[in-house]
Amino acid sequence: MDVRLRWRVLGAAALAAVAFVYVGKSTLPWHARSVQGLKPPIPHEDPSVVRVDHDVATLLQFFGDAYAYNLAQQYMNARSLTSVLRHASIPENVRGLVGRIGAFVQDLTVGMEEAEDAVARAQALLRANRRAEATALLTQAGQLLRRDEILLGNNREGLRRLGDSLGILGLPSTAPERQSFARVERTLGDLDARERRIAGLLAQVKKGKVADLKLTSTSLQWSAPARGYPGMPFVVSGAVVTGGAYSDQPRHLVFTLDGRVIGDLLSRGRFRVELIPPGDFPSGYHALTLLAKPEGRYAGVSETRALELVRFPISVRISTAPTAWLPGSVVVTGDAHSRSGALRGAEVEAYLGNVRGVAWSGPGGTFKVAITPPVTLGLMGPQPIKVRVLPVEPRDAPVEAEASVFMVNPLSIGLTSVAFVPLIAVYARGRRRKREKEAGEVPDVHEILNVDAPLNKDVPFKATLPSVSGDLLDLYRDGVRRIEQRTGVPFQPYLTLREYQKAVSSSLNGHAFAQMTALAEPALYSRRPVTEEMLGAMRRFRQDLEEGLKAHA
Amino acid sequence: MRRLLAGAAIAAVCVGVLTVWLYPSRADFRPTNPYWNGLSDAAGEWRMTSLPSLDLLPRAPGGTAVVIIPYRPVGGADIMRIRRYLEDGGVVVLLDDFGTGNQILEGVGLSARFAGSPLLDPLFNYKNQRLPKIPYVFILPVGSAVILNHATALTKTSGMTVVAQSSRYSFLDRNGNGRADPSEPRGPFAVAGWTRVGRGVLFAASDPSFLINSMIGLGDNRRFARQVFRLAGEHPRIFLDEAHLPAEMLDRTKAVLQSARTAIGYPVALLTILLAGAVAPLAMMLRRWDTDAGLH
Repeated sequence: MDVRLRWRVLGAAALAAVAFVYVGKSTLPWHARSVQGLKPPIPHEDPSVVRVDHDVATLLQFFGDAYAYNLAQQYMNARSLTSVLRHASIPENVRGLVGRIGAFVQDLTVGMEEAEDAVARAQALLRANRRAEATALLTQAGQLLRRDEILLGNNREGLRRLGDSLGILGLPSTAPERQSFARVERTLGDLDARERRIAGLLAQVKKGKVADLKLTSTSLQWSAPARGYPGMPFVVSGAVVTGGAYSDQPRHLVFTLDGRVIGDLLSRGRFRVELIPPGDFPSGYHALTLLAKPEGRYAGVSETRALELVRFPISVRISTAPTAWLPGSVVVTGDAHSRSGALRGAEVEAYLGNVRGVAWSGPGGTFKVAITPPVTLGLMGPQPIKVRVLPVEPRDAPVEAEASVFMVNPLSIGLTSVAFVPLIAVYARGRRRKREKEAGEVPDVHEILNVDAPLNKDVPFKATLPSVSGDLLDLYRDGVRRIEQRTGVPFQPYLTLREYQKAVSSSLNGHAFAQMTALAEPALYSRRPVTEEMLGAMRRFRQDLEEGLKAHA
Repeated sequence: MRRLLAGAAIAAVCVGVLTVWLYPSRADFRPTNPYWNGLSDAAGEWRMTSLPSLDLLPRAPGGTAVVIIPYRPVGGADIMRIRRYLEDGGVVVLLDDFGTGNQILEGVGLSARFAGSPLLDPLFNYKNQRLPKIPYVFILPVGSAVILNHATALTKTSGMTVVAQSSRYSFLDRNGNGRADPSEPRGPFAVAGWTRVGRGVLFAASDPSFLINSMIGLGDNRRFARQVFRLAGEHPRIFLDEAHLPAEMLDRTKAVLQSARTAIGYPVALLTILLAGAVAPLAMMLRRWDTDAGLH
C-alpha cells in the first residue's frame, strides 16, 4: 500500500475512534445501563395542550370545609380558605355560580362571627347583672341570627343549583361527587341546627328561663384498630367529653365507614362497641368516622380515622393433565387453604378461554372442576387455564391461579392439513415445471456429452474420431455463417463461442444455436470423445436453427 | 478529482458544524431551546450566563446567583464548589422535582429534601391536577398564585423559611394512581423556601418547570422568579449550570463546539492558527515556484 494512503487510513481510523468514544460515551446502551441516578423522562408537559380536568367532588369538599370551619367557630380559617377560591379550577358553566356561593360563605362567616360576638358580650353583661344592656345586645344578636338564617338559606339554595348544574343529584349514591354533596348538606344542616339552638337559648334567656348562654363544646377520646378484616368484628372504645369531663348527658354516637353507617349507640360518657366492616368493602384504606350528634347545649363533633381493610391471603394448588383431547373435558383438581385452615365451601371457577367450569371446595379444601370446551378450531395447542377461588368468608381474599394444558384438536389438525394440500400441490407442480424447463433447455446435450465417461488420455487432443468431430464443427461453422448472413453480426476473432452466442441470441431464436454452441465447445476444447450421438444432435439443432431463421425472416 | 473530493468533504464538515451551531436545542431547560420546554425566555430576560461546568463559578460571588436544575448525578467536587460558592456569599437557586437535588441538599448539610412523589392538586390547578396552582406565595402580594408543572414537595423544611405552600387539597401521589388515598400525605406542602448557608443563600423550589417558556407567563410565575433572583440583589448576575441539565446528542455536540471555540480564544491556540494560516499559503507558493523552475 502507498505510504501516504496508509497514513491517511490510519488518521481516519484514529478520528473515527475518537468520535466513537465521544459519541458512545453517553449514548450507547451499555453506558446508559451503568449510569445510576439518571431518569430519562423529564416530567413536565406542554400546558397549552394538556387535557382539562375538573374535580367536582373536591370543589364540594371545599365548601364543606368552609362550613365546617364556621361550625367549629374557626372563622379565620374559613376566611383564609374562601379567599383563595378564585384560584380553584372550576368548570366554565358554573364559574359564576361558584363565585356567588363563595360570597355567600364569606357573608355567612362574617354574620356568624358578629352574632357570636354579640352573644358573648351579652353573656358577659348577664354575668355582671347588667340585664337591660344585655337584653339590647340579645335583641341585636337575634337580628344577626335571623340574617344568618337567610344566609344559610342562600347557601343551601346555591349548592342545590350547583348540584343541578353539575348533574350531581342524578348520580348514584356511591359516586364520590354525590357523597361530597351529601357531606356538604350534612354540615350545612349541622350549622343550621347550631344557629337554631343559639336562637332558642336567646329566647329562653329573654324570658328569664335560662341565665346562661354558654354552648358547651364536645370532644371525643376514642381508639380504634388501624387494621380490620371484612366480616370480622373489631372493638372501638372511648369516651365523649363535654366541658372537660366525661359527658353525663346521653349522647347519640354514629359510626360510619366511608359514609355508610356501620353502628350506633347511646352513650353516657365512656363507650365500647363492636363494629363489623361490611364484606363488600374492597381491601385498602377507608375512612372510619365517629359522629357525636349535638344534644341540647352540647355541640356535635365528628372525628375520622383511617381503617385499613385487609383480607387473609389464600394459597391454592392446582393440577391438570398435561394433554387433553377434543371432544372431551379438561379436569382441574387442587386444594385451597387460608390462614385459618382448609378453605371449605369456596366457589372455584375455572376458565379455559371463555368456557367456565364451577365447583365448590370440600371439607379438606380440595376441589375438582371439569371444563367441557366446545370443539372449535381455535382451541389447539397450549392453552392457559385460569382458576379463581372465591372464599365464603369476606375476610379471605379471592385468589387466582393459572395452569396450562396442551389441547389436541382432531378437527383443527384435519382442517389445517386440508388447508396445506393446495399449497403442497402448487409447490409440487412448480418443482415439476422447473425440472421440465431445465430438461427442455440442455438435458439432452448434457446426456449426449457424456460427462461421466472416462477421459481417453492415450489419444492426442481432438484426434479421436476426426471425421465425426470435423463434421460436427463443420455443422457449427455452417450455422455461424448462416447467422452472420441473417443478422449481420460477424464472428470476430476475439470472441469465444459463448460470447458470440450471447451476442446474437437477441436477434434470433437462440435455443437451437445455444445447443449447437454447447456441443461445439467440447468438440473444440475437451479431451472427451465426440460421439455419433453428439453429431446427430448437432444435425438436429442445425436443422432447428435453419427453420428458426426462416420463420424469423 | 481528489481535490474535488477534499473540497466537498471540507464543505460538508463546515455545513455540519454550522448546522449544529445554529440549530436550536430541543432539550429540556436548555437556554438555547426556544420551544415550550426550553429556558430561552428566562435566559434572555435575566441575561443568564451558561456555565458548562460549576468550576467556572465566580470566586467573588457577591451579587450573583446560580440556577441549578440537577438532572444528572452531582459529584463530590461539584458539591464542594457549591458549598464554597455559598460560603463566599453566592445565591444558589436549586430547582428540582425528580432529579438529583437531594444530593446537593445533603451535600450542603441541609435537612430539607425533595419528596420525590408527584404533588397533585385536584382543586387548585391550571387545567388539571398535575399542574398545581400554589395559592399561598408569601413573597408576592396576597392573591398571587404560582403554577407548577409536574412538581413534587419539599419535606423536612424546619430549618427553612417557606415562601410558597400548596393548598390543603394537594396530596403526594406516592402510588401514582392519581387519587388521594387515605395513606397518602395531604397538603398543605412547602414547595419553595430559602435558608442561609455560610454567607450565601440557598433557595429551593420543588419544580424547575415554572421557569420554562410555556410556564413563565402563566399565573405569577414571572414575578415569583424575579423575587427569587432578588435574593442576590437588585441587579443580580445570573448563571445557569448546564453541566447537570438533561442533555441530548445535539447539546453535547454544541458543548464540544463551544469548548473548541473557547479553546481557540486562548492566545497560544490563536497564535498557532494564525501562524498556520500564514505559513500554509507561503509553502504552497514556494512549492509552485519550485515546480515552475523545474519545468524551465
